[in-house]
Amino acid sequence: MNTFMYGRIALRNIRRNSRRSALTILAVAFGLFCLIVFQALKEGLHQEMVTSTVRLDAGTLQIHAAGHEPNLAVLLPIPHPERAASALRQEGFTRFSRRLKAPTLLLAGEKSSSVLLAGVEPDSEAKVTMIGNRLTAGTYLTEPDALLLGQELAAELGVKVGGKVTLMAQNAFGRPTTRSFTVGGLYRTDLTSFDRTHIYLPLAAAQTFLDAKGEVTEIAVNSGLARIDQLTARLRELLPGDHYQVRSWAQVAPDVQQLIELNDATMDLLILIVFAIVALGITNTMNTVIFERFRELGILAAIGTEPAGILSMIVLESSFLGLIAAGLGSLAGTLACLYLHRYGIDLTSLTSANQYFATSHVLKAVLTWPDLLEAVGVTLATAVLAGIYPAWKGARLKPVKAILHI
Amino acid sequence: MPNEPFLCLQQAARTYKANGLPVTALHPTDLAVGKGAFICLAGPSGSGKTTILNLMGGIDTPTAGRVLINGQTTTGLSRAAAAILRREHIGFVFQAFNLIPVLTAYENVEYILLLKRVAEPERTARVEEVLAGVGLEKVRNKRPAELSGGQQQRVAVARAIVGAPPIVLADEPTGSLDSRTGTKLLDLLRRLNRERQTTFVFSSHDPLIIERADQVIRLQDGRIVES
Repeated sequence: MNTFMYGRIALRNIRRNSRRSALTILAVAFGLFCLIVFQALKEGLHQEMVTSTVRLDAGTLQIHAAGHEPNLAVLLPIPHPERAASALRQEGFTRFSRRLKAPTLLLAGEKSSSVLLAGVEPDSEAKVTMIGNRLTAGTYLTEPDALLLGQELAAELGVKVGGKVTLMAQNAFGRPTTRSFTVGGLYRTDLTSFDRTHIYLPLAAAQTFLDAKGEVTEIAVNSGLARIDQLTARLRELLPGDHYQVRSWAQVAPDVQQLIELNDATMDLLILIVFAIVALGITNTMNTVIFERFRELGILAAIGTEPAGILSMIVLESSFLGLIAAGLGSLAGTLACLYLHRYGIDLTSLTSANQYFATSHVLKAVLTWPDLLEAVGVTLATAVLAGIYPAWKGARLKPVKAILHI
Repeated sequence: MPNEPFLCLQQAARTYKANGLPVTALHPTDLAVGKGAFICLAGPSGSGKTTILNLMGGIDTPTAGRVLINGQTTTGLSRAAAAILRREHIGFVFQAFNLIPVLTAYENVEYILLLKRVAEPERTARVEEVLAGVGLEKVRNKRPAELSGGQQQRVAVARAIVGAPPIVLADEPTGSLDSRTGTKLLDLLRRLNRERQTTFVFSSHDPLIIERADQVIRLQDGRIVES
C-alpha cells in the first residue's frame, strides 16, 4: 500500500525539477540508444561475416576424410562418401554439395596462376554457396568440360568466355596431369582475392581430370545457422572420427569466430563504460536530490516514515527516471535500427578487399529481442543500483540534523 | 491538571560538539508531562527549548539520562523502531516549511494514516473530518506552495492530529505567522486540547502561546529555571 504512496511522491518529485530530470533522462536514454544501435550494428556485422564465410565457400558444416588439412597438396578422398550423404539425408539435410578440390596451376598463354580447383555438382552447389548467383558472363557449369573462372582472374590472364586454358595438377595417384579446358563462364563475388584463386568444374569433369572416379574430398552443407553445434555433434555420432572429420563453419573458419568473440568482448567493455557513465549521472542527480531535500527527508523521518520507506521513495525515483529513459532510449534506438536495417551503412570504400564482406559491403543493423531486452534490463538495473547509495544515505540521516539543516 | 506522566525526562542531558569542543545544550533535567497538558517551554534562543522538544519527540537522544515515551526509552532504538514510536505516539508541528511540497493539503494529512495503514473508508473520513476541523476543506487539493503561511500551519496541525497521537509537540508554531493568524491557530489547538485531551507541548517565546499555556516552563542556558 505504501509503495503506491512512495511511488506517487517519487513521480511528482521527478516533475518537481523537470529540467534536471529531463537532462538526466536524456543522458540515460542517449546511453541506451547508443548501446542498442551499436549492438545491432555489431550483430549485423557478425551476421554479414558469417554469411560471407558460409555462402562464399565454407557452408555451415563440412565433412572431410579424417586427417584432412586445409593446405594438403595430395588428394585425400572421403571414404564411402555415399555413407556421409545418407547420414546427412537421415538427419534431414537436403542442401549439401559434394566437392573434389585440388590445388592447380592455371595456364593461359604466357600467363599462369595458382588456384584451387573445385569440382562441384552445379545444382547442389547452388543450394550451398552463392557462386551460381554471381555469374557475370557465359553459363554456370552447364557444359561438361567448361570451367567457371573469377572475372578478375580471367581479366588478369587475358581470357574470355569460350577461350582456352590449361590446368596442371597432381592426380589421385600423385602423378602430374595436364589438360586443356574451355572457359564456360565468369563469376564475380565482392571479394576479389577469392575470385582470383577459385575456379570451378563440374564434379564429373574434375574427377576425370584428377583420375579420381567417384571420389570427393569435401561435402559442404547448408543447414542454417540455428543449433549448429548440436547438428555437428549429431553428425559426429553418425560418422566416426577415425574415418570422417565433421566441422562447423566456426571450426572451418576460426578467424571469423575469434573476430566475433573479440567484437563481443569489446562490446561488453563498451557496455560497461556506457553504463558506468549512466550510473554516475543518476547517482549524481540523486545525490543532489538528497542534498536539496535534506530537511524534507528529515521531516518525513520525524513524522514516522521508516528508513525503508525513505529508501523506497528515493530508489523508486531513480527507477522511474531509468524507466522513462529506457522507454525513450529503446524507442529511439529501435527506430534507428529499423532505418539502418533497411538502408544500412555503405562501407564499400573500407571493405572492398575484406574477406568478411564477400556478399555485401553494406552494414545493416540487426536488432534482436534478446539484445533489446538485455540493453533495457541493464539500463533499468543501473538506474535502480545507482539510486541505492543516495537512498541509503537518505534513509540513514538523523531527523534532528536534517530538520535543523537549512 | 495533567496526571499520569506520558512523557518523562529523567536526568536527560544533551551535549553537542562544536569545532571539536563539547557544548552543553541541556544540563541533566527531570520533567514529566501528563495527558491533557498544554505546556509552553519558554526562553531565549539557545536556552534549550528545541533540544527538549527534540528529545521528547524521539528525533534526538540524550547523551546522558533517558527519555521515556509511554514508558519506552528512546535510547538504543533502531531507526525503524524510533520512527514507529514517533508515528504511534507523537504529532509534530514544526516552525515552517514542514509539509511535503509535492503532495496536496489532503495528501499531506493522509500521509500519516497511510503510514499507520489505516484502511478506507475510515482514512478518508478522518482526513476530511480533520481538514474541516481546521477549516481547510476548500483548499484540500492545493499544494503547500499555493497556500498561505497560516493555511500551511493548519495543514501541519491537521497532519499532527489526524493519527490521534496522545501528544503533539510544536516548535515555534506561530513563528512565521502574523498575530491574527497565530491567535486563530492557537485557539484551534486549545480547542483540540480540551475536546480530545491531546497533550500539547510548545517551544516558543511568543507571548500569545505563553498567555494560553496551563504551564510555562522557563529555560535558560540549558536549565529549567522556572516551572
